[in-house]
Amino acid sequence: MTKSLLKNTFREIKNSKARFISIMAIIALGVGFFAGIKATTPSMYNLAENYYNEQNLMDYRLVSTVGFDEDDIKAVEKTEGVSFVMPSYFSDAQLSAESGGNVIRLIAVPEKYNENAELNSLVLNEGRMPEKPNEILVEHDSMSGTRYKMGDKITLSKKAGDSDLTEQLNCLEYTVVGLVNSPLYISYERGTTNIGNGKISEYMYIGQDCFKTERYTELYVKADFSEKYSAFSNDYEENSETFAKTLEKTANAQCEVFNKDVIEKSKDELEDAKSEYNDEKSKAEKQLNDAKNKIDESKKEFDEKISAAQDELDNAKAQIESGRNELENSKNEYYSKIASAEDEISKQETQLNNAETEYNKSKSDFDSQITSAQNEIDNGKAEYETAYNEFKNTQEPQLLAGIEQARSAVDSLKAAIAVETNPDVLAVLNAQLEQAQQTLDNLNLQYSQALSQFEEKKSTLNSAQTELDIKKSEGQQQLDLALAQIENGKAALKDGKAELETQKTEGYNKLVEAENSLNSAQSQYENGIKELETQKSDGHQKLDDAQDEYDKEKSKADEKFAEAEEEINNAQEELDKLSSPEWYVFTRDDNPGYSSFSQNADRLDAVASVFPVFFLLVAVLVCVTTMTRLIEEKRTEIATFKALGYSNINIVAKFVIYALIAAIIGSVIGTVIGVCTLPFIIFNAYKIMYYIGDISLVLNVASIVLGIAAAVLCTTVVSIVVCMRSLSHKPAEAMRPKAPKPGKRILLEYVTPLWNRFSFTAKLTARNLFRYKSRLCMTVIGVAGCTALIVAAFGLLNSFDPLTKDQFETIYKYDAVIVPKESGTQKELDYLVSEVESKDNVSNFMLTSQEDATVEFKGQIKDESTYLTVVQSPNELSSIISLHNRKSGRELALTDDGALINEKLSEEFGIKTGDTIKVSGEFGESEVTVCGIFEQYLHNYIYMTPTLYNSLYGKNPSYNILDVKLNDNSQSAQEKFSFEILKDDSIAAVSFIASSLEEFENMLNSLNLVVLVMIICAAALAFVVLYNLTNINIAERVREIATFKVLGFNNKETSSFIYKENIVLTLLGIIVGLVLGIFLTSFIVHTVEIDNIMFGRVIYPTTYIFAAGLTMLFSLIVNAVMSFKIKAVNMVESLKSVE
Amino acid sequence: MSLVEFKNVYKRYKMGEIIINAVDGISFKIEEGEFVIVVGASGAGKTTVLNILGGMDNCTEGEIVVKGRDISKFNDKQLIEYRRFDIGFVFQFYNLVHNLTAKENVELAAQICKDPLDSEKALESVGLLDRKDNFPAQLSGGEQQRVSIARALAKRPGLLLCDEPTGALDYNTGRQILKLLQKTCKNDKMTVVLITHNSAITPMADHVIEMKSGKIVRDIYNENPKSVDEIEW
Repeated sequence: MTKSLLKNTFREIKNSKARFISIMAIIALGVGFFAGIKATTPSMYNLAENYYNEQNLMDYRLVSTVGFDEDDIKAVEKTEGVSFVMPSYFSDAQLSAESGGNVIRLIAVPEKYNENAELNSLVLNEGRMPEKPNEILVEHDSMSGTRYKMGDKITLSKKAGDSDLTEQLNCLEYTVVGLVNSPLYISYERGTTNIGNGKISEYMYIGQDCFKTERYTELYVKADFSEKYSAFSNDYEENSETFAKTLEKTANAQCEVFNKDVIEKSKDELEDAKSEYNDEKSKAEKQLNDAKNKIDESKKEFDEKISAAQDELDNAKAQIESGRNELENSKNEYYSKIASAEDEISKQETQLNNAETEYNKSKSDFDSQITSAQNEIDNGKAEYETAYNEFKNTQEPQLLAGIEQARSAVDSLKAAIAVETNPDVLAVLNAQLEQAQQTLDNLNLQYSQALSQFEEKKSTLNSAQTELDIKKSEGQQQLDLALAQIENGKAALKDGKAELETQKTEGYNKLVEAENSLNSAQSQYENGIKELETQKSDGHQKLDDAQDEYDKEKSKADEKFAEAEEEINNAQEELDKLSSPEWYVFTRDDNPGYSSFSQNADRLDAVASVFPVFFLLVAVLVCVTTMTRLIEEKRTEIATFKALGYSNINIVAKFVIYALIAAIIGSVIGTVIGVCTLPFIIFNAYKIMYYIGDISLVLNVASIVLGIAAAVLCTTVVSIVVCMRSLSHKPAEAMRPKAPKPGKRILLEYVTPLWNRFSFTAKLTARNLFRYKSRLCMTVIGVAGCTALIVAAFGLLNSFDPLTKDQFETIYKYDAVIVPKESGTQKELDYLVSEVESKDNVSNFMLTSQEDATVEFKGQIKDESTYLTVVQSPNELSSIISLHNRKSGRELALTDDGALINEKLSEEFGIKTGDTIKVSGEFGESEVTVCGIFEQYLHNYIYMTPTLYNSLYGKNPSYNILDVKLNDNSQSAQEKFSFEILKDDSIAAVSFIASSLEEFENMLNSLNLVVLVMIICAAALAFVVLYNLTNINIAERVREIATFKVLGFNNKETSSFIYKENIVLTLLGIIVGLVLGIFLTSFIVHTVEIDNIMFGRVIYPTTYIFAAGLTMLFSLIVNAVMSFKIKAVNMVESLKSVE
Repeated sequence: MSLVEFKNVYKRYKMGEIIINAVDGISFKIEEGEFVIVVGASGAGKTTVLNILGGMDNCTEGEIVVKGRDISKFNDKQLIEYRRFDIGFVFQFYNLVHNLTAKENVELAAQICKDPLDSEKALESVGLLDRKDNFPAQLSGGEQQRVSIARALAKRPGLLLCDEPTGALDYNTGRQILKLLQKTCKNDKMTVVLITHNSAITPMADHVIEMKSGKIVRDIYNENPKSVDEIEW
């Protein structure tokens, strides 16, 4: 390497600063991200290990159903491989309702046992260790804040599940004196227990002397091997498993010793107690029976006497009753008789009155008749007199005159006739005579008639007068008779009235007499009754007293017996429990959070193996492209050096040095920045979930070396390869400009109608794109890679979303969970339901049974965070929890045909609808068909109907949770509700979905930070890559750009030639990148998922828009920056023939 | 008034402490329709003069009047328009766009002008109509240079500037190109300014300007310019 070649190299760097820096930046980003993320996992492991070492975390925790004594401890200590033992106490308790009702685990503050070191030392964050028995340490939570302050009082509920806490602890009220962190609990998980809702919500530490129990409840064991291996290492895990078996052997041996020493003895004692109890019981029962018989006898006697007296009285009463009835009858008779007599009298009176009235009326009628008849007759007489007088005066003379005249006429005629001979005249005269004769006859007749008429009238009047006179005298006679009768009647009536009065008085007196005698009989009877009552109550009182005394005695005896029996039963139970003593050996893996921490770290490592590798890949690829182009551009120069006689190695060295310097500086800068920032940023996020101290950096040398090596090797190897290719040409040939790649017609041109529409720039762009296929591929891949990374980063962010919104709003429709202290009996449930129902704010609720379950499918077993849930009324479930399939969106019905399981579980084990899984737990074990798969993001759930549960496990589910939907879910309403509900003694805890949501959001916010880092890195990479690619593009086409300029194209026109190509390439890259991003996202999301959490599976459209938009934006920014470069292209220099 | 007039034009480059006068106070005139040859050895400053005249470079001092406008005072935008409408360029290395066919290369220039010559006619005038659909790579050097001339002519420029147009061509092809240029000048009344280091071809010009070290050493007019056929070199 000559000096001038070196100089040339550095000048090259100086002249192509932008390109050099962009290579450096890309490598820095790629390597830095890779190294940074890769350093995070070991740092986290290291952190945990240091913390464990410092706090001296145990390797095993032994728990026995019967506790441990000194002999047990000695036996464990003697086991080969055990370093030392620390015995301790723990007890699970429930806080009193005022303190919140949570289930807590009380652990004894670690103390040295013999000369051994203390295990599981606490980190005291605030305050001091307990000194008095009523002092307590609570857990310190740096992120969400500790619930208690120093000096707070904590009260424990007396009952802890079935047992009485006072039997285990000396005191139930404590004062908080310190905030601590325990190495046993590094995460937010607190494990499970068998009391309350089964979930321990916090741990607390109290002094060892607070525990009453004689036997230790747990043993912490430190094993020899733990010194040798670091926590979480495979070696540790393997040793831990093997040694656990050794400890189990010791455990079995000790159990047998216990069987022999303790149980046999207790059994005999119990038998003695039992027989004594039975004797006592039968004796007491006999005494009681005697007493009872006596009471019964006297009761009978008393009853007989009373009933005789009662009979007597009843007879008297009946007599009085009948007397009264009789009296009543006589009274009625008396009154009715009087009434009828009175009736009769009044009737007669009326008749008399009527007769009198009639008489009066007849009389007046008669009188008026007589008078009118007399008047008529008188009138007739007067009329007759008048008519007769008139006749005599006028008519008679007239008639008589007429007659005389007629007679004379006749006579004259007769005379004439006789004279006359003429027949004719004679005939006429005869006729006239006849007429005159007739007139005379008529007049005679008239006259005689009138006379006889008057005669007749006069006799009629006379006879009428006679008749009237007779009538008058007859009528008078009759009237007089009637009057006499009436007078008689009146006299008789008066007599009747007088008689009635006398009878009335007489009858009444008799009645009064009878009533008086009845009343005296009644009062006698009543006195008798009163006397009987007094006697009766006296007797009852005496009897009751006797009964009471008996009952008292009996209940006393019963109580005593029950007590004795319970004692015996307890003893029996205790013995039963003891008779199968069992030791449990727990490893560190069983510590809540221990395995999840390592899982999380591993998952992070998985992300680190995917995302940054891809990142690095893109970076290296782009660097390779850049170097290739750089070398190709320098072809003439290479040839010149060669012609000057430089060796190939020297010439290659120039480019290798160029690449090396860029790669090394880039890698170093990237590594330093990446390693110094990323682990801290990421661990900060995890600190929300884990308390394990503060992170200190552990370099993952392997991955740093790997990252740097990948970057350096790729760039240098490519430099060498491309350089060698250039060198393979003869110098003379190479010195000439590389024949430009001939322009070619592209397929598109044959589509003439389309092609003809293209502008020049479009044609040029199209041809250019296809002319440099490798450049097209490189650019597209580079841009696609960046876009995919952005999609993946945003996609990861999207995948967190359903954990909050979908889970807590769409799926969980209820607002609160109520946990009763006791559950199981129908009475308790009914009470609980009525209690909750009575609250105004409750809109709906559902009794639910939730139990820890283990699921088995095709040899795969899941027992962590897996619950069997049975709801009381499956038909109403949809208003409390929405069980729906995520893909179809269909609401799933819970039927008796089978169980519903969550998506994560189905996905992990490959369970499909219709498959059969085995669900087991404390409730039993059974196989069940899967009927549907529902959307659920947290934990694993198997839902069943009560009927199905019953048919599978042969018993009814015991409902231990109440999901409640509130009308008003505001903060204040929640507080009010919780306060009211917790007042009830039977309710252990109330928790609200809203607060869980908040907790979860906090946790996810920290993950968001990790993703933000990814997004920023991906965006930065995208920017640099685009800049670099565009830069190269321009560098390669300086000549063309100059030509355009000379031809008089203005800057805008010239730039558009370059831009169009860039934009098309970027668009192509974006499209490929979006597709690639889907796969990358899905891969990353699946890798990152923690066991009991399902991340969202949907990439939002906004993600694509963001990714495409960001890439496009960067492309446009780069173009804008590049336009200055295009403007600066010097026409003169560029066209100065070949260099 | 002359078509072009250089008045005391300087072009200075500053190289550290030293100032180099690439063009050292030159003045000359070019009339419309002239065939001008600027001749000089390498480094005489003739290309600089051409670049300045073509609006690709600025002079440091002096006045350059083209068609009555002082282009030395032009800003970038005015210079672009000047290049666009007034100048046709022919380069030594043709500088065709490889991705465009012969015809398209001509059209490329034509499309940005106000009143361009029909591309096919331009190609016809350089005798390459039958090769219009070929890409530059499919043409010989002479043919490429002719396309380049056609491209310049299509713009109907006021001035055709040629920078060593025969520099990369063999003798015979060079002759053809010169002939074409002469013909264009005569027939189309095109003002042609040609730069060459080969003084043997100066007799074909109407006007010969010889430069040396940035200065004009000779500025003569040929009474009787010779046809290219009459010249040998």
